[in-house]
Amino acid sequence: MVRLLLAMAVLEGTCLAHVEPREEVSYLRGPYNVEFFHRHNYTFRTSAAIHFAHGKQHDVLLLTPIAQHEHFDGKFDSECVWYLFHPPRTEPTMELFGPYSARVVWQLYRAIDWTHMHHEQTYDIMSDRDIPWDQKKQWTDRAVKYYLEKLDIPRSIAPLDITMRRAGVMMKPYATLFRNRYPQSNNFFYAAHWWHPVVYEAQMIAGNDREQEAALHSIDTLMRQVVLKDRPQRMLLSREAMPRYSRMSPESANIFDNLHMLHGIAYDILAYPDWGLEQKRDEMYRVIRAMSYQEGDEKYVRKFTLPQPEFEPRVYSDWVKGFEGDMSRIMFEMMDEMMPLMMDLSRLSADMKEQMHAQLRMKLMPGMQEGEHEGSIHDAMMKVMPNMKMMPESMQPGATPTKMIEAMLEGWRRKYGHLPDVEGISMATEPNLPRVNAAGGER
Amino acid sequence: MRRTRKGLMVAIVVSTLLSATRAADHLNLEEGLPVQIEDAYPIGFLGREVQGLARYEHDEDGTDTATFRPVLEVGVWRNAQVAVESDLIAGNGDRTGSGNVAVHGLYNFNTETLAWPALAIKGGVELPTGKSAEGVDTTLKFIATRTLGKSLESLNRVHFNAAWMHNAESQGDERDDHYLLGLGYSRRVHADAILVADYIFEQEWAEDKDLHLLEVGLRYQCTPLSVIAAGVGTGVAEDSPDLRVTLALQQSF
Repeated sequence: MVRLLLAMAVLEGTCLAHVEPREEVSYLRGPYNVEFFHRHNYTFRTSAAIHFAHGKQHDVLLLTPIAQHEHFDGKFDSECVWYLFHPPRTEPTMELFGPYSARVVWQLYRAIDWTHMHHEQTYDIMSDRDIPWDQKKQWTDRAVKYYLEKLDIPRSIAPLDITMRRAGVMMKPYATLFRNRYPQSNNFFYAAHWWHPVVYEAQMIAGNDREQEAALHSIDTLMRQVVLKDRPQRMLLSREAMPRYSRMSPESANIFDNLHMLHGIAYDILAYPDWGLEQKRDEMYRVIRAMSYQEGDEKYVRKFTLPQPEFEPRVYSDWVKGFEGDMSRIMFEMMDEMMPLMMDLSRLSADMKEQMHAQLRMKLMPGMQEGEHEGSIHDAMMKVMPNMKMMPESMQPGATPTKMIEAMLEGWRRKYGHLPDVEGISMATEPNLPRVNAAGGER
Repeated sequence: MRRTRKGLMVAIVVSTLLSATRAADHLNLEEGLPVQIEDAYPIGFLGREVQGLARYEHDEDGTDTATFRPVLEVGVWRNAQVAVESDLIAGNGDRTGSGNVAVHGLYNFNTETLAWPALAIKGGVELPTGKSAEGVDTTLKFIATRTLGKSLESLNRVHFNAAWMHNAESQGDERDDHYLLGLGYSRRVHADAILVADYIFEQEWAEDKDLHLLEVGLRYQCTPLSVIAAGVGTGVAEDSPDLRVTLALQQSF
């Protein structure tokens, strides 16, 4: 028996010593449970289809060769779109459609499923007519508390500006691999990460009454008829696509941004062909921990600004679908904050800096652009700045690039440490859903 | 306003006391729902489920029995569940033990990895509260679950169950100890449906009587909190039932 297990372990290229407990936790009980499923079943099932895509994407990346990325990208994207039009009845766990990855990176699935549970709770609370409008926040806060307390690796309630810096993934050899090599699948998830927040925002502008049905119908129609065919070019942040909800529950809003970013990083790591399974797991678990809730995160919860406080979720504007936004701002800031550690800035010419930014911009865009260097952000930077100093040990799987993280967090503190907290939102009066005209503007 | 706040606080406290549940999960196989084989995973910590099973069995001696089994299952600790259940048996067949109350706990040691199957141990006691029952009988079961292959298109698992049952007060023609071996297979046939099949060998209490059973069933997730299941089985040797039909329900609450 032992020999058989040893042989299996060698064949799978993994380590026998790796055994971990399952540690699943149930979701919070409340009078609102399953309300989203019952009240907005079609919308609920859209979420179920998206979660199918998330689960299976892990296995697609681990089990198919990156050399055939174009083929598998197109094939899987077609399957995801099919599921969106033929959604499952209930939400699949990650394991159901990604069983191979469940055996490699179980903690990733725990972190994702737990946060999807929180998504369901908060949709349920917003959907429940019997929870008066002025009590939505209290119930949401209760769900956040449970989310943070009952699992050891909840996503952080700090804004992505902080957690992305803590993750320290930018100069790792896998950074942006997924969006560059699997742009269709990547952009399917960008569409999904548009859909999730605009559903909340539609609920926020609709109130508890039947206008909520109308608002969500608009979102679902927009998703299938417009957004899916012309997908966003960036990962939209909660503050951009659900500013009102972000003011009501910045904790939940940040949790969702941190989950959505974890999805992207996880796909980058799984797609990276030069590491074995154990190395991928080491790196994955490092990132999961780095982006988890940490003591003191409460003081950062409202440290963000709202680019469009009066955002209309039923309008898919050029700004929403474009590349420019808070996500790219964060990435450019991080690069500039790290640069003094990697380059003598006196030797960084203006032309070099321009090229560096141009390459970073191309790397951050889905697909490969004309003039874009092959490989990761690090590879592209080395082509532009061959004298760039790197710390090779911090590139290793599971290694934390401590100095870079410290430099980035210090950079954030300098720029935003004194940023006033984003204001809360009054929930005293239930809103009336405004009408939108055909061009998408509010009447 | 004060009254509204008080009402909200009461609602939140009541809900907190009622605690939580993870949805009944069609992938997580439970004994008898709708086939005998079970997997090595418990329900989540703080989860609560009621389960119900209705089974019709036609035996080779021409007798017919109907069994109703209500179950309450709770995720009491991390990786562990405890369940209380009772079989209520009607019909003209053997009804010994009808009304017995059984309590059992399952502890899962690990989630499955590429090298290790998921492993669990389950122990239980059956109290002689029912018809013609004597002595507190005990059961110890070993459970393993392993996923097969690397397919992108399906999720296939095999499950192994091995149990030792001890008869505390055996009667004249009864065994003191008897055993069960089960091999099962489950497959995702749809996002909301799991096909499950098994082969069960079980020594019965009565000396020289063994059961060989083949079963197949479907578990369907009909809402996020509920699973319905149906299965059919038949004996493949002497002493085994000609037909077994099971309908089951799991509901988180």
